[in-house]
Amino acid sequence: MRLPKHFGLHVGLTSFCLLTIYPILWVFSIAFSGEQNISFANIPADPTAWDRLRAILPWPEQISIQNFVDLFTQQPFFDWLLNSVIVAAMTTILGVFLACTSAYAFSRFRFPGRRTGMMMFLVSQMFPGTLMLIPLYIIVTKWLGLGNSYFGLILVYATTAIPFCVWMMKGYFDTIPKEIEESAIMDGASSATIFWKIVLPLARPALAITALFSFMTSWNEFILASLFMEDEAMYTAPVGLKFFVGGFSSQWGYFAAGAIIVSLPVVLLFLYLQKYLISGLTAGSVKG
Amino acid sequence: MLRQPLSKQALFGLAVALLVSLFFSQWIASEYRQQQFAKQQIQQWSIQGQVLGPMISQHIQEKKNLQPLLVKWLETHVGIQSITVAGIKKMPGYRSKRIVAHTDIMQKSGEFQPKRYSKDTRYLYDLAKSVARHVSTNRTENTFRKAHIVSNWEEKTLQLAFPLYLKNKVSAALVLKIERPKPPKSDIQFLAYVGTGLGLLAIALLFIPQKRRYTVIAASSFFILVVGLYSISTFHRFEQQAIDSASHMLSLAQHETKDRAIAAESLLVDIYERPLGWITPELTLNQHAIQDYLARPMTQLRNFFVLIGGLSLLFLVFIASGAASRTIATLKEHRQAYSYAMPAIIGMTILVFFPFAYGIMLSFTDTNLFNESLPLSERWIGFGNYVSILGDFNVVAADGEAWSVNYQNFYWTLLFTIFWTVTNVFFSVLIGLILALALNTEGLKGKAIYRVLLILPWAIPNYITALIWKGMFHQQFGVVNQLIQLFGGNAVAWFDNVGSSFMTVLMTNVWLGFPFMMVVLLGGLQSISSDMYEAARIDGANRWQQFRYITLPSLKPTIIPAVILSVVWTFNMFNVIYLVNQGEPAGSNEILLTQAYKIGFEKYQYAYAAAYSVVIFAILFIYGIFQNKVSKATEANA
Repeated sequence: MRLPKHFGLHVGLTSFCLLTIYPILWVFSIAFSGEQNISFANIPADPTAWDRLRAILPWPEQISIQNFVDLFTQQPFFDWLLNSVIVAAMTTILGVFLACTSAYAFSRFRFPGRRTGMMMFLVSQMFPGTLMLIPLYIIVTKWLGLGNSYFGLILVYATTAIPFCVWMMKGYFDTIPKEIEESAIMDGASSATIFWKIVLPLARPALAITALFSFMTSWNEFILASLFMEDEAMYTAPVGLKFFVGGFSSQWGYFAAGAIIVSLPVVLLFLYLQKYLISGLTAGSVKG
Repeated sequence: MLRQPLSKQALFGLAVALLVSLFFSQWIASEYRQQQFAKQQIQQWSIQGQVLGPMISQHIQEKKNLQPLLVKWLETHVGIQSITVAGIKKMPGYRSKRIVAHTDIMQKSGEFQPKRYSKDTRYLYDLAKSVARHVSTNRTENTFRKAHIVSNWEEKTLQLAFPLYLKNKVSAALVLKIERPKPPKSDIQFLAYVGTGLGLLAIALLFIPQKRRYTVIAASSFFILVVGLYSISTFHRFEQQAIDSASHMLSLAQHETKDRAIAAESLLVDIYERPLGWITPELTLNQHAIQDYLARPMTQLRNFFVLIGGLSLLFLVFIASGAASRTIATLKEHRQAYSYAMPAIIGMTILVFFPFAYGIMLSFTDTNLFNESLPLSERWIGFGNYVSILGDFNVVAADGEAWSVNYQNFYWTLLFTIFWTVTNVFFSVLIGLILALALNTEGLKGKAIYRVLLILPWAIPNYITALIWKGMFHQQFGVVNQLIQLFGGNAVAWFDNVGSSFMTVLMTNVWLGFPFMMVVLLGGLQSISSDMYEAARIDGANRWQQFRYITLPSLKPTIIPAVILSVVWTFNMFNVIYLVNQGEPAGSNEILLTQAYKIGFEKYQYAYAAAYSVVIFAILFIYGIFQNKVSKATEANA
């Protein structure tokens, strides 16, 4: 009998894929087990090979959605999710607004300080997070008194996302021909009209990417959030998930269920937009 | 002659600078004055407490009634509204936790019985308790950290609580409620200085040549002159006031001790009940001691004055030299551009650049959780943090035969970080390359499915991934150990050993990192034209030769940027270390970033962590320059 074409390759790839998605299956299996246990099956005192194998097969002993139900009824997870949504949404709005206005200035106008400003934005990407953490913590919570508030987190997230978004938007604005605006000026449009009614609609794809980036930045961030939000009711979803399994608590069922809820939108978005993300990343990396 | 714009700019600059600098100086000076005034009030009234306290203690020990003493005291001291003795411990004749004596109520009903604390008087107990606690803290620590005399400024009154000692132990507190004294009024005499300065300059401008240089110099020197005069007179005034108040206190103390066997100088104490030493044995004022006492706040005040003056002077030069008007003209000309760019720039300045500068400044101090509130000048230690980070080469601590690695040492962490980065990038590239080659096979079915499955690790938020792997490496219930046991091995305590702990983070991070490499390399592979391979086959090259001489060189422009990017990501991969093995055991698996975080937020050594982060920034900056060069070279070659 002749083996199908690329048989060996398929075997190799399939087994590697299984290995790759094993942690994901692990999460699903724990989430739907209805328990807080980290193991799939109880191993008897004198285990047979089958018992042992059973313990690593990512399939729960019984399937139940109890963890998901409890997450919303017994745990404050809904509040955390809501906090995350509010913070991420406001960050996106603020971040996109700040990024597109200043990117427009950098792209369309020639003014003193333009080059310096853009250079500074680039260099700021190199500031290590921990160097910023302490001053930010002092400034936001102690001086501005914005600890435990949405606003503090939103401000910080939006500003940290600015440099990347500005460079991204500027690149796109540069590709929009100036003639369009010039003819609009001829027709008597004001500068604000040109920006809001002509340039922004044309830059819709870049706006989408910028918005997505801002959203992801705040949706996935947990260090700043865990520093700023000390009150349990103000946790964002990432801080809450860490809370389930960090320190001395080990509510793995809640964690797994929550992890699925939190990652699902992000993963779907990622898979949908991966083409753009990858081309953007590599283009950026070549330019330095 | 004053019509020329040059003189106008000089005068305007001087006016603005003087107004700004003198206004702020005046404001800070008046704040200082208020503070000193409050201090003097407390010192002045503490004389009464120092006299009355021992008398009360003696009464209690002799089990005498306190009321006559207190009532008499209240009658002879104007300004004291009420006197309370708040008990916290058992004392002769009284039960514990009572208000032992209280003049307010006595006046109303004529007599007073010791009373339990009620809801309204509960604060008296708290006050007494805190005084007792402060005294005992200071005694055990043998320091003067917490005030023995506790003051409470309220809307109309000032409350002072003194410890009452029975057998050398604090068993109660004496609380004086005092009519709140009127604070000194602030004056606006600085306007006179502004006027003087401007007048002087106006006159001088009539005589000096109308050249930019001269007008700027003239304005600056008048600024320095006027501000200097103002500062000298202010400082002189403050010193005089301090001496006046000291001599007032001396006479007060002498009055109180007239027919008692107490030395007057023992009454002048600070809030730690330490004698101030303001009085010489000859019963005159010791001006030296007073000036010493004032030196610290005065230095602070002077630093503020210098700072404000310096900034204002810069401002003056900025205006007088014409730079200001040029800037304004530029701003006006590019009004639109700036209004578009401003929101982001302001945001970045406040929340990115300022924190960065603040962090750098912090790295030159020894700030930690406990001394945050001290003035900057006292926390300043220069390059101390950098010396102790970079100058400590004791990576290996040898003790005779035995030796151990000091995992907290910077160089260990640096080496570990480099090792961590190199191994991670190596394995990610290796796995990514193999998978990319496999997926690039012509005619392979199901490519799209494989690709989506293999890209999943990249799509999941990495903190979730990290926590998942942490669970999988659980010693007792984790699947990794179950798998090992399936094949007859023993469960491994993953986080107890440097090597095995490293394995956990390495596996997690390679799992996170290979999809990126795979995707990028796949893109690179697809762009290699198949003609080259055909030509090679015709020339008789085998598979390995094709890979070695066609695939690898063609992939170079793809691999290098991807590796550069991946190095920075791995170097900064906080989440994996922080969440999976937490740097265990004993901090050996800490990378630079997590180490800095731990120093800052678990040991609360803010300044040390800041210095650590500056070092990290320097490393990244150098790497950034290197990266720029390499990518330029690659671009040129490609």
